[in-house]
Amino acid sequence: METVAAAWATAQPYLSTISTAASVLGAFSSVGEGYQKQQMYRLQAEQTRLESERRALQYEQQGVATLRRINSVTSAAAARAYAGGVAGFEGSAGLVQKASEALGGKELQIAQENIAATRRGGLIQANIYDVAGETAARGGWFDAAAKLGTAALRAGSIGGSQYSYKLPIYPGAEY
Amino acid sequence: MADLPKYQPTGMLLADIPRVDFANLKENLRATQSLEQSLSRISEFAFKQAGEQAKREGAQYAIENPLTAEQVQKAISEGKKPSELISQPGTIFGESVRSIQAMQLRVELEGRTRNKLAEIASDVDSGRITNFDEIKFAINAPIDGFARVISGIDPEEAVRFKAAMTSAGSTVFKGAYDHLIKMEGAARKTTVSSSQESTYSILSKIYSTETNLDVIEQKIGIERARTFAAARSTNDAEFINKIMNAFEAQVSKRKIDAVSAYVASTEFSADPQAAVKRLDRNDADKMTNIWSSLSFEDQAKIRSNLRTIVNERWDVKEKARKEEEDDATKKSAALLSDYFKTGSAASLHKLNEIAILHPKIISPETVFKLPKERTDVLDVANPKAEFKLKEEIMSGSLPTLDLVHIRAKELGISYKRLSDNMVPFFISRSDKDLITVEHIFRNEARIVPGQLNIGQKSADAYGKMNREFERNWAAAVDANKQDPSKPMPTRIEVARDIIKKRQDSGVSKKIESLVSGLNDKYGKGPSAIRKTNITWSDSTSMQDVRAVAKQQGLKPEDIVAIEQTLKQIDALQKQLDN
Repeated sequence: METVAAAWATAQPYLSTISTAASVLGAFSSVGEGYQKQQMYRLQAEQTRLESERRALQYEQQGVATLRRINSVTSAAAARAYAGGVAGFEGSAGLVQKASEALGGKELQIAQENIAATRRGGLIQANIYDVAGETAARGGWFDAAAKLGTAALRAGSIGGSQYSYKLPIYPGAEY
Repeated sequence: MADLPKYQPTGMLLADIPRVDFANLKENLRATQSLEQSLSRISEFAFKQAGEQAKREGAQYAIENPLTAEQVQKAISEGKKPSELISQPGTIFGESVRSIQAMQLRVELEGRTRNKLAEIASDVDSGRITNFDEIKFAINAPIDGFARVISGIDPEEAVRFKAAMTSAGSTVFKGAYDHLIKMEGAARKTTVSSSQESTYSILSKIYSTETNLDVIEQKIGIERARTFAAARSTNDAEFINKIMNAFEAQVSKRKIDAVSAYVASTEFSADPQAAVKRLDRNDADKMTNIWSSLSFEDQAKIRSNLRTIVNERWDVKEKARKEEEDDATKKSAALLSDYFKTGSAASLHKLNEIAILHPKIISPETVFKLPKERTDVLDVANPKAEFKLKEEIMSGSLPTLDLVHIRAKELGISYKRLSDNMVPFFISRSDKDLITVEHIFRNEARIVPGQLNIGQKSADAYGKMNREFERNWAAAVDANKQDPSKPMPTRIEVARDIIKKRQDSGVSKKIESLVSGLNDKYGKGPSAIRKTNITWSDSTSMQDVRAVAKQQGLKPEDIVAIEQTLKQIDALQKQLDN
């Protein structure tokens, strides 16, 4: 307790200076915090882009798989027709092949739309994160400015001999 | 035909629309909120600073422009509210001014109230205020009044003022209360103490008038209870004990005194020895009951008192008798000496009185023979005695010849000297006085000397005065016979006294007033209504007036008025002289 009391007594004359310095450090901290947030948002934007690309690729793989299944079904239908002695791409064989292409084509189209939507969504989210980062950085500056302003007002309101008006020193003048 | 392979749908669906995280908006909002908070803090700080500045300026203004009690009194007398004198509330500056001014007013009024409380305490101590209600009113009036004034400006200051002053007022009231209680206690003690003597008198009366012991005890009990109640009202145990002890002591004393007084009185026994014997037989007459109830010690006290009273009575009587005899001896010696020197009748009379009361000092026979002895012893021709007799005749103290004769004997003047000198002197002296008296009466009755035709009015007046004179003179002679030491008036003095009384009487004043009225109205004066040459008097007759009325210019209405006045005068004169 005695040590705390002694420290407090020592700090007494410097309290106003300490207070002002703390406020300035707080302002710096706000700016840093803003930039850190901006960095965090950039990373999130990048992550979002990667994630949307990954998901777009998944949809592409689904599209490719759909195409393979279409080719497999039509070629099997043609082969079976030819094996039966009828034209492979005409008649009922041709009709069955067209129906398979129509069904598979719809699913292929869904896969392509999913790819586009995923990429667009990722882009939008990444841009939002970029803007949010810039806002956070700007907010840090505003916060720092407000802290510095408040500190200046408080420092001015403390008063004391160090803030009192001092007469200008004129050569030869006696005070 | 075998079935051809067909495309089997996988059930692919459109991807979910990804949820957009509007981080930019959130961040924007956070930054805006943060900025708003910062600005709010700055604004709040600035307002706080400005408010404090306004508060300081308000305080400074209030100190430079203090609100005094005089200003408040003046405002109230002009029908304004005290609150109108100071800044209106609602601003920090106004509140500050109001607060400081209210505080200044409170401090000033507290000072005044404390002074007033000190005055009240002083008034109570000096006895100028002796009533509780008056004290309460005197204390509460300034506190309530000033608190009301302050509350119109600042209720908080009013509460502070009332709290502080009520505390001070309570202290003063308690002091005053204690003082008054003390004074009242002292007054009650004085009243009780002073009333005790009358209570003791009642005790004496009870013992001297009542013979029945039960009744006596009952009445004493009432007095005891009354005394105790009076003493108890003082709330002082020591005083109550003192009073009650004194009461019991007095009960015993008054009982003994009452019996002592009775048995020592002649009503009980004319002879003190007989009184003691009766007491020995246990007979105290109407006091026997009380006597019997007394202890042996108290009875002994009464016997002792009886002996003391009897002895004192005898001593006083004997002393008085001796003093009286000594005095009579000295007086008789001085009177004898005076009588032989002057022959004073008064001295002889006093010697006679002494002889009757104290025959051992001088016998009545000795006194009876004194004039003869004096005549025998002294020279017959006694010029001094003769001069004294003549002087007494002249002064009128010896109005008749019989009295002259008696006085001559007292003075030791022989018959021969009396016959040759004193009687002729007496006769000539009396005649002169009578002549003077007649002159006085004739003059007053307006009888002209030598006139034969005397008016009825004059005759009545003269007769009345003469009758009164005879009566008064006879009364004076009788009075002198009764008491020779009383100075005898002369005939002339008696006559003048009659004239004076007659002139001072109310009737004479009325007559004089009426005559004066006639002279004023119809006389010679310049202010007369009808000026004439007549001098009006109480003897003027109507006949005389009528004879000169025409010549003097009197009109019929004047004659009527004059006649009425003269009739009034006539009636009054008859009242005076009949």
